[in-house]
Order: sequence, then C-alpha cells, then structure tokens
Amino acid sequence: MNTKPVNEDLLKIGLEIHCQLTNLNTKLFCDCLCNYRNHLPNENTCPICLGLPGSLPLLNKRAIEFAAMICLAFKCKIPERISFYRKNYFYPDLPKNFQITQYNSYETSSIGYNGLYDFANDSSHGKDKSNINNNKPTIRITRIQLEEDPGKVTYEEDKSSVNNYTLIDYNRAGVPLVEIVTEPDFSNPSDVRIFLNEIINIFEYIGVCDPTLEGSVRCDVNVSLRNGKKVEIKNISSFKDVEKSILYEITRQKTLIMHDIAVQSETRHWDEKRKITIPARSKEEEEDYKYFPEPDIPKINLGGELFISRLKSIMHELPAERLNRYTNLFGITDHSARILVNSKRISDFFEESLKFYQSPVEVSNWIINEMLTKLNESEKHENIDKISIEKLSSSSFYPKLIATMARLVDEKSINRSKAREIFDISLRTGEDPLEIAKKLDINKISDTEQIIVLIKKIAEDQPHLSEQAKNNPNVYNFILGLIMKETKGKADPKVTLELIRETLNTSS
Amino acid sequence: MSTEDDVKKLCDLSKLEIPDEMIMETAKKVKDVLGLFSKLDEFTNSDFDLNTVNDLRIEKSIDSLRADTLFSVHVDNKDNKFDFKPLNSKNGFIIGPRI
Amino acid sequence: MSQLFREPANVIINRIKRGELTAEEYISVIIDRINNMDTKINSFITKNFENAIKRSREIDKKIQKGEKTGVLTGIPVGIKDNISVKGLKNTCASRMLSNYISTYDATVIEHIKSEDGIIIGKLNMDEFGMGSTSELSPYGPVRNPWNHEYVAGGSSGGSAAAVSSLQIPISLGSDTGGSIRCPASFCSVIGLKPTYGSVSRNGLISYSNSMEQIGPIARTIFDIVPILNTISGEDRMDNTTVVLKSQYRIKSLEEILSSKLRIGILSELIETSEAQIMNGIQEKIKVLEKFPFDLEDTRLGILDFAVAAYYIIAMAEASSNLSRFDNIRYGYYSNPEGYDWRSYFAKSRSLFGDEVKRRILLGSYVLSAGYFGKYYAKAQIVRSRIRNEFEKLFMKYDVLILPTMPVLPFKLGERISNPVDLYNLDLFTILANLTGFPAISIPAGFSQEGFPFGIQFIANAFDEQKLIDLAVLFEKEFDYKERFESI
Repeated sequence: MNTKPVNEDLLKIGLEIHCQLTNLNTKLFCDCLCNYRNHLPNENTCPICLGLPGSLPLLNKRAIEFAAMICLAFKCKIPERISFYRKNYFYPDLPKNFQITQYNSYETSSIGYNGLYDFANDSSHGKDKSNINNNKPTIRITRIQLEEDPGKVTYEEDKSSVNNYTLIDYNRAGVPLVEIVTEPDFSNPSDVRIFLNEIINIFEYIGVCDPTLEGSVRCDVNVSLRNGKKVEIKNISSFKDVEKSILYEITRQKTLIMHDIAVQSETRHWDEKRKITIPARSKEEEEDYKYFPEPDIPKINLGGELFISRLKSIMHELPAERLNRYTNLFGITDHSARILVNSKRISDFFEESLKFYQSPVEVSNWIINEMLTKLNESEKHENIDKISIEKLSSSSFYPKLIATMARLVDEKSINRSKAREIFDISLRTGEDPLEIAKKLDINKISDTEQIIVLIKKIAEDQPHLSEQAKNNPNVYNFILGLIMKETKGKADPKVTLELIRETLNTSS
Repeated sequence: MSTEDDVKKLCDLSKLEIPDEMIMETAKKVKDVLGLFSKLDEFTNSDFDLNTVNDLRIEKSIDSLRADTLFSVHVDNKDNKFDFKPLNSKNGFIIGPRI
Repeated sequence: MSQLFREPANVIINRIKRGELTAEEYISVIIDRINNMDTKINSFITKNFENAIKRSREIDKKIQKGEKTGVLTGIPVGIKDNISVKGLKNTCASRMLSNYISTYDATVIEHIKSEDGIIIGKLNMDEFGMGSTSELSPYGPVRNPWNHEYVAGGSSGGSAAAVSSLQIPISLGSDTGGSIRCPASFCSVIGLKPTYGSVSRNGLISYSNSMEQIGPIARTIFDIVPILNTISGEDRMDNTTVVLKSQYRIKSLEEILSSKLRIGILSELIETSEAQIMNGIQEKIKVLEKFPFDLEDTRLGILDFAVAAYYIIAMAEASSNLSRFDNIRYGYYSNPEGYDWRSYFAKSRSLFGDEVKRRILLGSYVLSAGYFGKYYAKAQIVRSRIRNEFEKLFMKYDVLILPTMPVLPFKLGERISNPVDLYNLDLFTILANLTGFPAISIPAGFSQEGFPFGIQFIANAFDEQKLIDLAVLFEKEFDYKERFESI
C-alpha cells in the first residue's frame, strides 16, 4: 500500500465533492428543516419533499447564495442566470424518481463554472513539510452545482441478503447539496487529502456547512493511469478513506496493465470494511439520465455584478485572504500564520484576542506556543479536565487572557516564565491575570540583601565568572539564571540583573 | 425503435410491464406515433443548434424566491397539518423493496 | 322538481346573498340533479355531498349573521380529478391512484373555499389528462349530454359534461393541449385556458407541466369571470406564477365597443374544418362585421410541425412526471416485501392504462441520449418559432379567431384505436399550450344533427380580458340557452 506513484504513470485524479448546506434553515425546495438529523423517520417531510402528486418545488433563495459563496471561494465564474434540470432515474430513495439538479450540456445552467484552486495560496500545506513542492498543480474546477439530496434506504439486518424489504426514511430528501466537480488535475493522492482538508476549512470559514456532521461532506473519485480509461469510485464514506481508495485503485490498475489487461471505464464502489474497490454495476446498466429543463422552476436571474458584490460584502473572509493579511499586514511568520488560519476556530480566537490588545505577533505567539500546547497536552491526558478550543472560544475571558499575557510580556513588566505561571493559574482558576501578577509580586524577593548574598556566593564559588563578565555581558544573564533557579523564579529579574552588575563591578 | 424487442427494452428502462399479448399492438402504435414525430425531419430551418435547449421557461429574479425561513410555506395551522399515511410502514419508516 | 339548477351561478349567488335562497336549499337541488343525471353522463368519480351540505350550512350561518361572503357564495364547483382536494380521493382516472387521498388542497381549491364556493365532487377525465375523448378512464367513458352515444371530448370531459348537463354551474378542468376547450366545444359550454403562469398549478397532478393550466368551465361568460378571478394570481406555492395587473370584469357593451378590437381570422384553419363547422363559424364572423372592429384574414406558418412538437414535449415531460408513481409511498394497495426494486416498480406501474404507458415509453425514448436533438430539442425550437409567429400576429391583432375543434363530437369507441388520428385533431387547441397564450372556446352553434361546436379566440399573454369582452359580445348575439331545455 505504500506505492509512491511517480509521474511516468500519468496518474490523473478528479473529484466530485458533495456538500450539504447544513447551515440553512430549510430544505432546497420546501420549508422542512434542513437539519434532518435527530428526527424520527419520515417526520421531517411534507408533500413537496415526499414528491406527493401535485406538489411543486419552491426554490430556497439563500441556498443559491450559499452555493454562490462556495463558487466565489473557488474563483468560479457565476453566470447572469442559472436554471435547473431533471436527472431522470428510478431508485427507491428518490421521492420523484428524478433529481432536480443543474446541467451544463445545453446551456450554462450551474451556479458556478471554470473555477480554480491554487495550492500556492492554500493555508494548509505548510503543516506537512513533505508536501512542500514548487510544482504543485493548479486544480481546475469544472463546475459547481446546486441539487437535492435523496432519502436514505436502510436494512433491518446487517446482511442485506436476509432482508426481504428495505426501510426508507425521506427526512434527508430535498436537503440542499452543492456538488463541486474538478478536472482530473491531481497527480498525487496526498494532494487530494490536502485539498479535501482545505475544502472543509473553506466551508467552515464561509459558514455554509458543518463538516463535522456525519455525511455532510462526501467525495467521489475518478482515477486514470497512463491516459487509460477513467474509473470512478463511489460510496467512499469518510475522507480518510479517499486516499486509501485511490492508492488501492492505482495498485489495481497497475496490476491490470502489468498483465496486459485493459482497464475498463466503470464505476466501482469502495468497500469500507475490506478497504478495496468492487465493481458497482455492469456496463449495460450504465444509466441514461435523460436530462431536460425543469419546467417547474423558472430561470433565475441573479442580478450580475450587484449580486456578486453584495455576496462578497456579507461573506466571511476566506482562509487564503486571512493568511495573506496575517503575513503581510501583521508580519506574522508564514509558519505561524498557517497554523492559525488552518482552523477557523483558532483563527477566530486570534482575531478575538486582538480586540483586547493589538499586538498580532505576541498574541499569535501566546496562542501557538502556550495555548495550543496546553490543548495538545490536555488531549493526551485522560484524567485532567479537558480544555477544548470550543470551550475557550465560548467566552471572551480566554481571548482577553491571551491578550493580557501578550501585553504583560510586551511591556516587559514580567518575564516569560513568570508569565507562563500566571497563565497557568489563570487558566486553572479563572482569576484575572493582573490580580495574579499583583499577588505574585508581593511574594517576590525584593529584599536586595538576600539577592546580593546569593550573587556573592555564586561569585565566590565560581571566581572565573567575574573575570569573564568584563568581556561578555551574557555572563550576567547566566548568573541571573542561576539565581532564578535558586529562588524558584521569585527574584525580580530586572532588579536582580541590576544587582549582579553592581555586585560584580564593585567586587572587582 | 418500434420492433417488439425495442419496446421490451424501453419498457425495462421505463420500469413498465406490458403483457406479452399487448407488445405487438404497442409496437405498432409506437411506430405510428414515431411516424408523426418524424414530421420534424422536414423542419430544417437553418439557424438552430440542436445542442441547445431553447425552451420557453420564464425568467424570475432571485429576489422573488422564498426566504430561508421555517413555516414560510406550510403555515402552522391545525387545519393544514400534514397528515400522510404511507402505503406500508414500520416504526415510522416506509417499507420499500429490496435494493 | 325545482328548476334552480338551470340558473347560472351569478344569479344564484345574488339570491343567496340577498337571503332569497339558502345555500343549503340550492345545494340540495344540485345534489338531486346530479343523482338524477349523472347515471347517464358519468361525469363524477367522487361525490362530496355530505361535506357540501355541511359547508352550505356554514355559509348560510355567515349570511344570517350579516357577515360578508365571497364571490362564489354557495356555488357548487366540480373539480377535475387531477386537482387535489384535501381528504378526497385524487385518482386522475388511473388505477395507479385508485386509493390515493390528497393530503392538501390545491391553491385553486383554497381560493374557491375562501370565496365560499363549495367543492361538490371530483370529475371524470382521461387517465392523467392523456386523451381528447374522456373514454380512457377506468370509471367508464364520459357521455356527451347532447347524445349519450357520443364522446364528451377530453380530457376534462367530466368537467364540461357536468356543466353542460345542468348538474353544476361551474367546474374546473385542466388544459394541456385543449383538454378544457375540446370538451367545451363538444358539450356547448364555455371553457377558458388562462395564460401559462396566471393560475397556480400547485396541487394539479402534472402531466406536461410546461404547457398545462387549470381553467374554468361554465355555461355563461358571466360565470367564468368570478371563478377566473378566484383562481388567478401569483402563488408562493408555484414558482412559475406571475403577478397579474388587475381583476377581470364584465364590461358594458359600450365600453367593449369603445376600443376598436383588431381581429385576425385564421381562415385556412376554418376552411380545413368539417363543412358544418366551417359554415357555422364563417356565419358567426359575418355577424361580427356589424361591430366597429378591424377584421382581417391572416395565417400562421410552420403549423405542419405543431402537432409533432406538441406531442414530443408533452410525452417527454409526462414520462418524467409520472415516474414518481412507483407505489412505495402512496398509490393502490400493494406490498413491496420480497421484491427486488426493479421488478416491484415494473409490476406496480403495470396498472397504468395503455395510452399512458405508450406516452411514457415514447417520452423516455425522445429524451434518451442520441435522440434528444432529433426530437426534444427540435420540438422546443419549433415551439419557440410558433411563439414568435404568434407574437408577430399579436402586434397586428388583439384576438385571433379559429375553430376549437375541426370536427363534431363522434361516437364512443369510433376513433379510440387510432391515436395518431386523434392527436391530429388537436392542432387548433395545442397552439395556445405551446405558446402559453390564453384561449377560450365558446359555443358557436349546432350541426344539423344537433351536435354542438365551439369557436376559439386566442389573445396575447395576460390578455384574458379581451377574450372575455369578445365572449360577452358573442353571448349577447347568440344565446343558446334555450337549447339546454333539451338536456
């Protein structure tokens, strides 16, 4: 499974990503809840989404706007007007036995077309150093279309062969789906993984879809080798398996080629349990979808530039835009900026903290070096109270805390290790860091006599230090370190440093 | 299209069952209608493109569409409560054939 | 026995509103009439008498309390059985839906109810509206009230025959390619197909949804106007409806004649009709000459392709619209247990009638890869061309005149075995559906044998008022009311 495909295989991978617009209130064509999860079966249905005779689709305006935002995120062109088509096929999960979708063969019907995704600007690849590579492909987005999700068919028993019937739940039927279709521009399965992560990140940024909901983002893959026939892989239930399925398919196709067997153009299903692809249906059964324009929905005039500029004005900043702002405007290092931008929650936390103290570099240091480290530690330890980014984002206390820490350090009223200590206490007790600092100040050894005793003791123990200090000011810091260790950090570093200088100078 | 085999194949694709004794008649009538349709072969006016669909759907502004709000369509009144009893159901699920 | 059933709705409404007649009295007269008549005509599939009486009592109470009542106060309206009425069976005259009960009211039904009209029952038709004789119904054919051995026309045959046979004053039909106007012509009543998009289709079971509209049938234009106003207008439940400028009304003769209507006469089409129809219509047009109208002969091109284009589009859409009937969620009683889904679908769907099955087969054929351009796309081009031709004519004329049907009613069973012959009879009516323009059929006389025929007016989009104006004139000139005595 560790096949590292090289370019001579002319590996071409294309994706079809389906994303539910979970953040809408209602379905695509009726006012049933878009959030169909946690309902009793068929409870979230009405004449429209059950396809009862005589019901007509009533298009959801905001679904078009959400889909258009996704188009903007992928630099797609958005046409003046969009329209809908019927994709005709029979299946028990389809209430009308056709799906209302968009189709570009006879006109530009889809909400977006001719988009691009550029790896150079993506926010995630810095994380995975092995993938930094200057000839990353640009991925062309063929089209982005809006369509309806079908219902769900389940079996009572696990083994399908013993079931005499199926159980159908149409609660999901009519949930708005956006399908993103790419050209076969991927030449590397790991790029696919990065791309999918980035897509999820973008969805979170523009707030159209909650990718953590099960089944909200799905992906079909097509793979071809050496300009051979294209094989589609469907039914990949998790993103983690996408890369695995591609690797399996590469191996399978290579084996065929090795034995001089031609690769067939076909649709295969990913078998989640066995981690292999299996043929979906025979070629004779390849469907003819008999697309034609949906008469029940007028052509929708979007309103041109005005529509797009209005959308842009209400649309959340994209990760790439944030990355750019962080590095260029804030002067945060590319590495740090990527860590922030890679997760909308962390990045939002950062933005929130800045409201309390406008010092982006120091604030980002606190988030990345202190807060995230704490989070990681808490992940590892079962027994301690878990801190999560969700919890930290839930009140303004934590962003304010980070901001205060950054300010304390910036203004040099406190040293970093002391600051860490204050941060720890505050995180644990919820106490105001300034209060903690004050309390700690009281305990601070400001008794200069006691410190001078210590300095003298060190100078006596290691007489060469006084000599070296004349040429190398770093020695003062070294001594400071020893004293801090001795006093368990209670000595005031500023005062101490001054005392060290004085003491060593007078003694010589 | 119009032989009995064609009709059988088309029935299969359209998920229709036509009894054997009706196949011949169906094939004949289908053939007659296709004869009527072939009238369009004579329509050869130059300036059209069969790869486009020039239908008469009206155009509406996006602003005319339904807002994404609950109960915008089905007003929540007792009289209008959706009371649907599916043909065959079990624990709220609708029973379907094997797939 | 009371002769109230002979009165038009507008007369009854006034009497009920003035308290001279109760809605309950009137509805019981109507129920008696239906019980006596319909055994011969077979226009009803479902009768809603109990609810109708209940409703009439509620209306009477409103009137007693002095509350305002609607424009259809106390009027029983018959509904074609492809329009949803909550709680009533909605069969579409198909065995596929023999047990299907609507869970909601069509928008037009909501409007009728809120105008205090009474839903009296569901009317017979050709299965799913696919036919022009109303013979293709598992409930038996609708019979022509003027001769029970003859067809009533279709597909809204029950709607036209029930009105024509004085069972009810007003009904609703649906018109996909003439389904209101053809039976109106065959039964000597007025039938109007509104402009596409002016009446909500919500609750109308789709056959060919880019062409069909719900429309009214009545014996006088004075009854068409209130029902048309009731059902017309933009509907949030149908995205293809549009806002209408104003309500329709009956104008005075002076007002109608004050604007000089420009009328185009499609002589070619009149001349290709049966001789008695040709003569009858030419006679009627002569009478129009005494009015200050601009009358002019005119013609339409590319008519040769209209029937083919119409049926290609209608069948294509039908094949898709009827896919949903798979007998999983609703339909007639059957159990999918033990079946593979493909065989269950095929078995369930075998209950469609033969004509419907053929249209589904042909419809999916013309949409299939490789034939789409040859049939469907080309048909749409023809459709646009026809629309363009009409638009050009409407720059010159306000209204076009032509026969509704080229033939008189024919015997039951006479033409049923030759679908293409029947399709070709639709040429005059499908034009309004292909283009979306409004059209009305009004009674134009009777043949020597006593069979009625209709004259048809077509106007530009949303120009229904002009059709109404002309119909008012016609009704003043030629009143066939006395003819109904024979029914």
